[in-house]
Amino acid sequence: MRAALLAAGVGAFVAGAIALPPTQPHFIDITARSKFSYITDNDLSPRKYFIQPMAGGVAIFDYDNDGKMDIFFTNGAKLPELEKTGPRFYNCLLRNKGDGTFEDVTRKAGLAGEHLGYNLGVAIGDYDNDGYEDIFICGAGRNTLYHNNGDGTFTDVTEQSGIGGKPPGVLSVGAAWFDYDNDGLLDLVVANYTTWTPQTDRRCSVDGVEYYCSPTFYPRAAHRLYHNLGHGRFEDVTEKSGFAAAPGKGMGISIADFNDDGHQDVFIANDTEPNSLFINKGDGTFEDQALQLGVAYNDDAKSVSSMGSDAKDYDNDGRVDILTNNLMGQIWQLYRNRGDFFRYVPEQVQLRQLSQPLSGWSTAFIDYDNDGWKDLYSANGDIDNVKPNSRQHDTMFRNLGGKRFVDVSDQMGAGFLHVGYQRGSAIGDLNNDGFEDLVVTSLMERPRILLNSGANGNHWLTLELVGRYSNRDAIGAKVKLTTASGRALYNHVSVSTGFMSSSDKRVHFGLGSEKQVASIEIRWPRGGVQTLRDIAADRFLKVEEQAGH
Amino acid sequence: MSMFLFAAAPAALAWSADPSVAEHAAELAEQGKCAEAMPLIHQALEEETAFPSAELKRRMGAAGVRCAMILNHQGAATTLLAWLEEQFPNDPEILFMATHVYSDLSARSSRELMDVAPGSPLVIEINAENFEKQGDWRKAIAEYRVLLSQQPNMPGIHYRIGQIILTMPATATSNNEARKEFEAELKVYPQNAGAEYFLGELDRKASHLPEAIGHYTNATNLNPSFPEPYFGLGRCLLDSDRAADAVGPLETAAKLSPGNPTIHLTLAHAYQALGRKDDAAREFVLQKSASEKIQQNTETVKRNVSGVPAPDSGAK
Repeated sequence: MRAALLAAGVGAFVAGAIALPPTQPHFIDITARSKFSYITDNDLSPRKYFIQPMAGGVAIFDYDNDGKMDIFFTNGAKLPELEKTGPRFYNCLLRNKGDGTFEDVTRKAGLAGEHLGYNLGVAIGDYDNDGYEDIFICGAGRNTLYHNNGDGTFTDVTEQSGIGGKPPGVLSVGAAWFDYDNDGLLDLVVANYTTWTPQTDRRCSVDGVEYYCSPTFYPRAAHRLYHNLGHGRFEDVTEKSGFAAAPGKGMGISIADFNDDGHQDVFIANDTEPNSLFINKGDGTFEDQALQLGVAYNDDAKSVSSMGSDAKDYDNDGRVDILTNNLMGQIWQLYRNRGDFFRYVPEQVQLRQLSQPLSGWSTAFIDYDNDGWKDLYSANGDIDNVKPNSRQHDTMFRNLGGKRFVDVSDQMGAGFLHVGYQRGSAIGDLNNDGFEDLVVTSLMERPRILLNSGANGNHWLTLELVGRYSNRDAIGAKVKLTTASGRALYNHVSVSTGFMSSSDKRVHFGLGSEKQVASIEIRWPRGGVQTLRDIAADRFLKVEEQAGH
Repeated sequence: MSMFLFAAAPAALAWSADPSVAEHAAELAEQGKCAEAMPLIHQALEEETAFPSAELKRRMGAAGVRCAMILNHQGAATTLLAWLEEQFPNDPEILFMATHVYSDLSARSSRELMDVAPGSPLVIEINAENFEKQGDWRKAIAEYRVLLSQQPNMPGIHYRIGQIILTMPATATSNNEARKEFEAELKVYPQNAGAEYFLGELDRKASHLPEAIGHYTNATNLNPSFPEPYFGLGRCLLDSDRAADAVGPLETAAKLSPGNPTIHLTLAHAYQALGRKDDAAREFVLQKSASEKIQQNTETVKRNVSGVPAPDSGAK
């Protein structure tokens, strides 16, 4: 066992000066402290193109390995040209300076994407195991793979990688890296929505005023799977893996080993179509078992407008559950994993009344108060401005013992309660204080960098796992943490959260009042198990995969 | 077909197999000469061979229903309508007409009730129901409360209030408020299967599974042809890891309500938990087809009825 204590504490962050009771962390919008020009630009105009409600993917990751989490945003394009005709549409990389500010390093990094079209989701992963995080960007038109050169710059390697190919006009919304065959190399799944171009865009209007046409006017598309062959090459295995057999209208992607068989599975939230749960059969093929496992539909056996998704264990029973949010009037879907199948439980946890008035896009389980129960965050705002309550604020539903959720949004601070059309969001510890922060995009606005005030006295532990035999990011590694009092907490390495977004890959645990961890059991993707014992709380632990485990 | 008993049928013309009788009856009715038309319609219906075409049969029947309503021959209208529904099953136009006829008859009956018994508690009940139909929940509840103040033991009223509370946007207290109403209902009318069912629902959603199982069981005993309590019972048993016990109630629910996809899905899960793969596969197929049918119908209604225009209907 080798566990190294990271010395990456970034004490220079000033988390705001607002004095709060010690029991309630909240979020402080620190965006204004940094100079950057990025706004999420979907080229909003009276002419309503189907793609416009979607823009503003977010990633939180450490691109330069300095121990501080950086931020990347995707952006839209001019319509109908579908081109980034100027800086207003450029993507954006912000480097974390460690003093509460971020520096726009987009041009230096080569990530503006001048030649790209309308970009949507972003997926972060070290696909070549060189120790530097690479970037995959989805879009209308081409998808793009950027290789991290390790010197602060990136190179577009889409063509030589073989990952760029897809049928003409396919609209790719989200993507996620994971190692489906446990060969130590990250593979890629892409959630596709439909076949769409500005030329095939449908138009809907009332009294001459356009609104966005229903997704039901557009066909489904097959989600795509790319197998990492090594040496920077990928093979499109969509057909032979079984992914082609279950097309959908893909939005959020969540990766986890839902049936605990040692193979990573893929959940895709489909808009107005049954959700997909691609169960990994361990032989290079997948089968969509969403229906059989009870996650395809809501409790009325109807598909809804599933948007973002996350897969985590919200009730600390050791099984990975699934959450998807959706549009107002519907009920966000929480599926509790029983082991043999999932049960639809929004009513039981009070999500019906909490979620019905909301149009949620990105979402995530986040233990914002470090009490050991994963709370529920959502970035909200309706599709269009046709309803009086279309502009909405984010919500935080606090998890009460895994039994029910209560709305604590109004205690989350003014920055959190910003009203608009929120879209992408990512979770990460930007100031390394042990409390998880948020970055959120909103259509036609600057994003918000929301720092968690923390300081409620609760303890925490964050693991940075480094695979040596498994993929270097350790995506798919499962962690069981047992506190000194015997409380068991579960998490796994998964960066694909919410909608079009990618979160901090480190594995975070809130410990409540407990200062000591009795044991940490890590099950690596390739099957090895490592156990650490008697660990003090409130620290970052870097753990490398060991031989023979 | 002597079943057509027109209350005001005058002496009929001599029977004639001549199809022109039906044609003539339809023409008279369409011209609004209902008093003359009705005896002819009655006569034409006595011998179906008199209809040279289904279209004439439909035309005359529909005109007859309209005339019967104009003449306030309510019995004739419903009987003629029933005949049309039998002759033209699943016919959208006939179903549309039936909707209007029954709605109109309902309005007439409630007006008549107000005329003959303006001081009756039933008038208050009708008023409350009208508010309920209009979606004016608060006024409906207030009206039901008036009724209860006059007749505290009137069966069905607490039950209605409980249902309305559950229909309204949920609040932190609405489940408890509804529960109190259903419990009050059972005190005045212990045979109300619906109240037992909703108490089961409230307990299921609160994860009080043993209590829910008790209420659902009571509901199935009170009304064995009510599918929902069997479904709730099956669900709770399945969630209590009693898949073998869940199968029976779920199978009954599926039999009573074959078009409900959620029942098929839950039954499939119960079979799955018992290793009955073939049975589970069959139920998944039934679930999928039922669900797709609902989905398609919903989409069609959205496009055709709710004012959502087809794409490309706007200016390019």
